[in-house]
This record gives sequence, structure tokens and C-alpha cells, in this order.
Amino acid sequence: MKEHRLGRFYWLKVSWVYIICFILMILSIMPFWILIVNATRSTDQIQQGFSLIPSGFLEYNYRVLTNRGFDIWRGFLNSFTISASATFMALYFSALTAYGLVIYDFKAKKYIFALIAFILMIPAQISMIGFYRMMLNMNLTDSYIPLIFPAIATPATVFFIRQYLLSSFPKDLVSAARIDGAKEIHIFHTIALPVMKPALATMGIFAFVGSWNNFLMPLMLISDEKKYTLPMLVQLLKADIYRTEFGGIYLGIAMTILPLLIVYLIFSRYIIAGVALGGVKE
Amino acid sequence: MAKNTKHQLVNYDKYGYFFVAPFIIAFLVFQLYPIFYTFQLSFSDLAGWETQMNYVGLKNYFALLENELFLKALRNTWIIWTMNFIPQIGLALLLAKWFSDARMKLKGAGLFKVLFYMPNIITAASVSILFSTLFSYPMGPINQLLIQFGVLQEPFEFFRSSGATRSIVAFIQFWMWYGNTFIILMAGILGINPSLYEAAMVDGATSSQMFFGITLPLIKPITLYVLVTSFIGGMQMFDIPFLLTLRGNPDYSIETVTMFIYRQAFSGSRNYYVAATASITLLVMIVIVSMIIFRVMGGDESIKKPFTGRLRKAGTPK
Amino acid sequence: MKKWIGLLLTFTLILSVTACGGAKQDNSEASNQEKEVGVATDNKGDTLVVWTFTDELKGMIENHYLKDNPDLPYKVEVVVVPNDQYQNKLDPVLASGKSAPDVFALEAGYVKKYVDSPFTADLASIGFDRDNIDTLPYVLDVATDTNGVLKGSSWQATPGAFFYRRSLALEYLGTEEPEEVQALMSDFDKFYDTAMTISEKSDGKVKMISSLGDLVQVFYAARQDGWVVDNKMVVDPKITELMEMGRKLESNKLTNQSEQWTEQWFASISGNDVFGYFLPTWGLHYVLKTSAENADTGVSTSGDWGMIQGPSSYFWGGTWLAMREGSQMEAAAADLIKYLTLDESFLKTWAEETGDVLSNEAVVNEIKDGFTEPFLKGQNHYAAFADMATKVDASILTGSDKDIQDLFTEQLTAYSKGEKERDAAMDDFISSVKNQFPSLEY
Repeated sequence: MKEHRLGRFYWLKVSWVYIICFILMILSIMPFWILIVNATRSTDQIQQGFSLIPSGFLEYNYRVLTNRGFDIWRGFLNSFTISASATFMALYFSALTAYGLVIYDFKAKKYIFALIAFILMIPAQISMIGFYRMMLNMNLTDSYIPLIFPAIATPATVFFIRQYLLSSFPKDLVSAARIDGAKEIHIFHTIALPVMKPALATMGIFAFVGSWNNFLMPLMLISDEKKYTLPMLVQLLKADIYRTEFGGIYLGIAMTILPLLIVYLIFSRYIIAGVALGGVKE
Repeated sequence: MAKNTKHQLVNYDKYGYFFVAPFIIAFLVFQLYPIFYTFQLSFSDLAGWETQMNYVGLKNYFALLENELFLKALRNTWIIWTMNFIPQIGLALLLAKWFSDARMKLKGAGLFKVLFYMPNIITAASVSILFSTLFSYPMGPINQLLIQFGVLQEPFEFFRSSGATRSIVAFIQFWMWYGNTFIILMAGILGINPSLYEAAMVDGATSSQMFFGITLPLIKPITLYVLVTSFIGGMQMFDIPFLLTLRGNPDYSIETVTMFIYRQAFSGSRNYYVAATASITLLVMIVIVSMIIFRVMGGDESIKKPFTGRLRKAGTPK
Repeated sequence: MKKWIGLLLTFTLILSVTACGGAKQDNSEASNQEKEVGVATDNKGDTLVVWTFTDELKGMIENHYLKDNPDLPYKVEVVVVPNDQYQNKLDPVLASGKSAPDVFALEAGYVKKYVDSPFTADLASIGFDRDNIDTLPYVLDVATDTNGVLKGSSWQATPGAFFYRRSLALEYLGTEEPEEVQALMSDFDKFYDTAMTISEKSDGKVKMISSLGDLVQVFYAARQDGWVVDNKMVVDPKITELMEMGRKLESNKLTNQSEQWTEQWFASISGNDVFGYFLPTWGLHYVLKTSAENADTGVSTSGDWGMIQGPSSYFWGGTWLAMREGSQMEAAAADLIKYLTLDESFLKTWAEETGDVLSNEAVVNEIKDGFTEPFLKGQNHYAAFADMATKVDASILTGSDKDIQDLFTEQLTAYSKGEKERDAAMDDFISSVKNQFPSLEY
């Protein structure tokens, strides 16, 4: 009966929607495909033309990438250490802050929220010079601290989680837990955090991607090659004597993206499920 | 008894300070000084190797407002952001409409949702290399394709045309971010109580009527959130235009404000004072415009509750 | 899990607080330091830190210096930073003296900026006496500051040449011999005429050069004055000549419309659509030779190249080494710089290994006659380059060259392609330089 009301254009419309989605899908996959294809092509081939068909230089490119006296796997580990820690910091402390702002009615709340909204508006470039100068003076170059700990104050994540809590966190849960005698931080850990999972997953993806792809700040701060991140190592190929090994660079980029893809696909089920619904399902 | 409860309440609320403390401390430790330093710089004449600040009052601000390149960068930033945001929110809303349409029952919706966000994963550096290769002149794939299909008679030099270059930057931004916007909008839509739609369907409403009558009004707060965050991000646009062509060329048509800031600080005679002044000016503009957007579109309440409206916990699935 | 989070939280708080205290202390220290620029110290003590923008220097140190000096009582750490980020990273550490390198490499585009700064040390203090070393005068002049103090040294000289395709020359010019081809392009008028001839005879299929950018170094080197003289910006007449030449070539379609260092630019090295390339010493080994083979057909253009001076002598690029003023590793730094730029047995090995043209005239004269280059059909490129190197005048380099030339490229392109008229392009150029260098006079 309902199908009926959609009229005879139903199939036409649905096909149209699928065509659009299909085109968007191609647009999404294309860059990954090109990167992977180029990772298998020689620098000469890349220089001499564009192709969508893989070639046979993967092994050669891998040798280019790894035979520079630097350890690509260590770069992996370094990037992962930084990104995972920074993501953890951003998620945990943003959740904490957002929860604090939603559940409690303390005096400075309004001002703190205004402050967070204000921080959100500060361009990253604005503080770069001062931040770098400060890190130099604190002797924090060649350290991961400036790459991890500032993530504790990530206003966008706080903002998002706060909105999420406002709409889908029943405050009665907290009162109920208090009656049971639970401590505040305990309530946060056992009741609030699980509810936030979907929001955390979404923001976690954004945070991890951002930190993993961050290039400029690590480059400014880190000079010890053992501590280089993956994007920094890939960039080093550009510092090759006068000639750029494009094949190696593309393989490096492809290898940089791979872990991100995996992390993304793992967490994406929350995106599929929808952020808002999850909270009250249990 | 009543007294006791009140006492308890006050007590609990103080915990709020502990919960926000780490954020505030991290902000004070890592971000306050840099911002203060930038502010200080904007009133000085510090440049190059110098280390001594001489204060010059508001001079830098007056000079900046007469700096043609800065004004051009400001204009570019607005143009590129608008060119990317309108189709971005449009497509995201359209997709949201389709994917939330109960009658359409799209198959593979999950797969599409996952794929749409994927362009956002690749680094700006790789994306810009990719696009400069695709649109390169005269032998790039896009040129070859357009000639093959007879759209062009001879190759077109995309990166020598201000309009084309801006469009490419806007397209890249659009392509990288529509998935993100779509995901956030879907989050809002999924929070709408399904019984509203059920009731509407019983009343014989069409898909479009439901979208415009129920969905759009209810996701207005979240749309506002998208608008504001996209605006803030758009005004700080840097990577793609910076890496796509040399120095915002052709003719500085894709030089954005943050690129202007970066170049002032890191090249030429390294005019930190100009970079700082431009940073503060940009910040002030972002704050003012964001406030105007809130006033005009949502009233004050929505800054606090963008997700509101969306009702009472998403109706327990029946 | 919970406890762990609690612990982490505590740890974070403690760390934040201590870091905060630390910041205060260090800030006051820093402000004391700032009063005496350059004498700030970094007490690494047992490590010699070298910064460079190519991995070439890294190879020289690891494969030669450390092998010849196996028993150094300290470590040598080489940090490679990509060139487009190099100055951004170097400037703040030099200014603050923290985590700063002891020895750092400098490129022609900005070597002057550092030579004229207080952060490079006088090499005379570590035993460099310019009258007693065989280094080419131009190489030392570049690294000498306005007061005549020598602050850097280099192992190489980078004169430039024009490399052309012999088969194309034979087909369109009737000869492939270097002397005769040189005669056809001994100045830019002839160069232009020859470009026209090649284009006409090939029905427009063969272009003289690949990109407009190929021309610029030749014109830059021919200037009387650098971009900045006595803090005043100068536009040499050669710059206008360059713009006119650019427009003539572009409007007659005599370039391949590519951009330097792009895929298409490289592709023509193995193709048949570009007659030649302006490239310096390093260009032969690292650009032409590495890109000569066509990836699809496997056909190589090796052996089909000739080398001549072209319309005008010039130089392009080069790497200089400087020592940081106030370095705690002065003796070690001196030893390294001397080895890399003065040690004759090392230089000889290096030249034979790579074909790099040396700045040391004594070694060059000793080895130059032994080279024949199959890539150039047996020409002795080394002797030719050695001869060109003595004619190089690099006195017009300034510390702002890289930035100013980046700005100029856009206007040159716009004018050559007919997008703007010359006055407009020039005005836009000047105003963009003004914007970056507000303290210069115009």
C-alpha cells in the first residue's frame, strides 16, 4: 500500500540515488587506488605518465624506502605511540570535561563553556610561533610531550561530546548511582563512559587521523631520527640528492594510510550504527 | 531532610571543577602563553633575527587593514569557503534525506556511509600531489579526458586560471569534508523520534513533506553546529591551497589568510609582527561572525544545545 | 583499568604542574640569554650535530668521514630536513641556541642570509686562511660576510651548461658537434633564432626547452646587481630581458609548456620533444642520467647528449658548510668542515666516485683530463665544467634570493603567457616583495 503511494517513479528515483552514491563511491576509492598503483610503479613510469594499472616495482620501491638507513617500522611505532596517546588524551579528558559541564551546576560553568567555545575559534597558526618558542625554552624538543599532552585540551571534542550527552544521557542514572553510594569519578567511569562510546568512536577517528597526519609540528620539534614519525620519514625521501624517488614516496604514503584505514574501518561500525542512537540502546 | 538534599547537591556540583580541571590546566600550560605571546607580538615590531620587542601601539593593525595582499587573502578565504560549503551542506543534506527515507530502504547504506568519509583520511600533502597531477597541463589525465570526449579542443591550463584553481581547491575541500558533515547530520537525524515519522506516514505525508516538515526543523541546531565549525575550519584553511600550487598562485588567487600568516612568519624578512597582527585579526573576525551566525540563525539557546530539539532520547526502538 | 586511568590522570596532573614550573624558570633564563645573541649554548658535549637538507652530506659523513676517522671520541649525528622546511626549523634554534646544530649546510638560495647573521662562526678562528687554500675564489666569496669574514666553505663548484640532444641537433641543425651547436646559440638572440629554426623544421614538434623556469638561472647569473644592494631592492635590466625572452618563447610556442621538476618536465629527457636543458654540474648526474630511460620502451637517450656553455655562463645551486657561533664542539666541527672541503685525498675519491665538480682547483687540475663521459658521447664534461667554474661570478647572491625569486617566478609566468602587461607584472612583483620585506627600500 505504502509502496503504491511512491508512484511509478519509485524505481527511477532509487536508481538515480544509487547512481549518485556510486559516483561518490568511485570518487572516494579512486585516490586510494591511484596511491596503491603508484606504489607499484617505478619513478620513471610515474614521471612519464598516469596509469590505473599496477606495475611490478613494489619490491624495488620497498627497498628504496627502507634502504636509507632509517627504519620505517620504527616510524610506524613512533607514529602509533603519538597518535594513540594523543587520541586517548583527547577522548578521555574531553569526555571528563564534557561530563563535568553537563552533570554539575557549578558557578564558573558558563564561563568555562564560553572559554572552550572561544578556544575552538583560535586558528592553529596563531599559536604556532609561541608554542614552538615555549617548547624550546622548556627543553621539550625531541620529546613527544608537546605532541601528546596538549590534546588534553581539545575543544571540538568537548563540544561534540557535550552536545551528545545533553541529548542522550539520562541524568537520572547519575542520581540513581549516587543513592547506591558510588563515587563521582566511579559513576563517570562505569556509567557515563559506556554511554558515550559511539560519540567517542566518532571523535576518536577524527582525533587519530588528525594526529597521525600531523607533519609540521613534529618536524619542527623532533630532530632525532630515531624519533621521527612516519610522515616525516616519507618526507625525507624528498631530501634525496637532487632527485625525488616518487615510487618510494607513494609506497610510503600508502603505508602511512594503511593503519589509518584499519583503525577507521574498526571504528566505523559506530558511524554506521549512528552516533546518537547508540547511547540509550542498552 | 530538604536541607540535607540541598547540601548534598551543592557538594556534588563542586565536583564539576575537578572534571574540567585537566582541560583548563592543559590549556593554561600549552596554549595560553602562545596566544598571549601572539597578542604581544602584534603590538611590537619584532622581525627576523631580532629578539627585543619594541612596542608600536596599534600601528600594525592599521597597516594590515591597508595591506592589499592581506585583504585579497581574506577575500579568497571567504570565496573558497563559500564555494565549498554550499555544495557540501547541500549534498550532505540530500544524502541524509535519502538515507533516512524509510520508504527508499537503500541497500548498502552502511557501506556508503563508511566510504563517504574516506577522502578525509588521506593527508593534505598526498591529496594535493594527486590533484596537481590530475589537472596538470598540457598532458594531465583530466585534460586528456576532456579532449577525448570533445569537451575541449586543446588542453586547458587549469592552474593559470584564478577561477579554475579556486574551484579545484573548493572541490577538494568539498570532497574531503562532505562525508564528515553527512555523518554528523545523520547523527542528528537518527536521534529524531521515529514515531513522528510513523504518524506522518499514517497521515499520508510524502517523503519530501516529511523531510521538510519534520527532519529539517529538528536538525536545525545540528546544522548550525556544522555551519559554525565548518566556518571556523574554513577560515583557517591552509594545507590544500598551500600545497596545491606555489605561493597561492596563479596571481595569489588561492592565498588564504593562514597562508599569509605563515609566509609572513616563516619567509621573507620573517615579519612576526605582521603574522601576529593578522592572526589576531582573523581570530576577532571568526568570533564576531560566529556570534552573528548564532544570533541570526539560532538565538542564544542553540549555542548551548545544538542537538536539542532532537528529543527526548531517540525513542526506544519498538 | 580504572586504577590505571586514575594513575595516568595523576601522572598527567603532576607532569603538567612541574612542566608549568619549569616553563617559568626557563623563560627567565631565556630572556637573559636573548640579550647576548648567539652565545647561547647547548651542552650536548659528546655529540657533533650536523644539519643538512639533502642526504648527500649524510652519505659523505657516514661513508667517508667516519670510515677515515674510526676513533672519534664523540658521536656524529646527521639530521636531514627537507629543503622546503629547512630554514623554518633552523632559524628558531639558531636564535635561541637550544638544540642547535654545530655544523649546518646552506644552499645558494639562502647561504648569504646566514653568513650575514651573527650565528655563523668566523672560520679563520679554526684555521681557514683563504690565501692558503686552493678553493675557487667565487666559492669563498659567497661565504664571506659584508665585513670580509669567511664563514663557510664548500667542496663543490656548480657552473652551469646547456645539454642538448645530438640526434635532434643533427636532424634540425645539420650538425651534432658541440662547437658548431655552440656557435648557433652563443648569445640569446641566436638562441632564439635557433629555437625558431628547430620549431619550424620539426613542424612545432620539437621545443627548444621544456619549461620557462629553465631559463631563469642563466639570466640571474648575468645580472650586474643582485636583488638587494645596500638594503635597497634592485631590478637589474637582465630581469626585463628575461621577461621579454620568456614572452617571445612562449608566444611562439618554443617551450614545452611544462613546469620544472614536474612529471612532464622529466619525461622529455627520455622523449623526443625537447631539444635541451640548462643544468649545472649536478644536473648531469642526478637529473639527466637518472631519467634518460623510457619506462615503457626501455629505450635510453644516453649517449645522445652533447654539452656546451650555451648563451651565457652561469652557476646554479651549491652547498656550503658553516659552523655555529658558540658551538661547544668547535674542534670537532672544524675537523669535519676541513675534511669535507679541504682534504685532497677525500675530495679526489669523492670526485671520482660521483663526478661532482670540486671547488678545489688543485685537485680538479690533477684529475680533470682523465674523464670521458659515455652519456655525452665521450665528451670530457669535467674539463669543460672546470673551465666554466673559473668564470663564475657569484658576488650578486643575496640572502633573500630564494624568497624574491619565488615571488618573481609567478610574474614571469604571467607576463610570458600574456596574462599581464609588463608594467602590471612588475608592479605586482614589487608589491609582493614589499609585502615580504617591508624594511627594504624601493
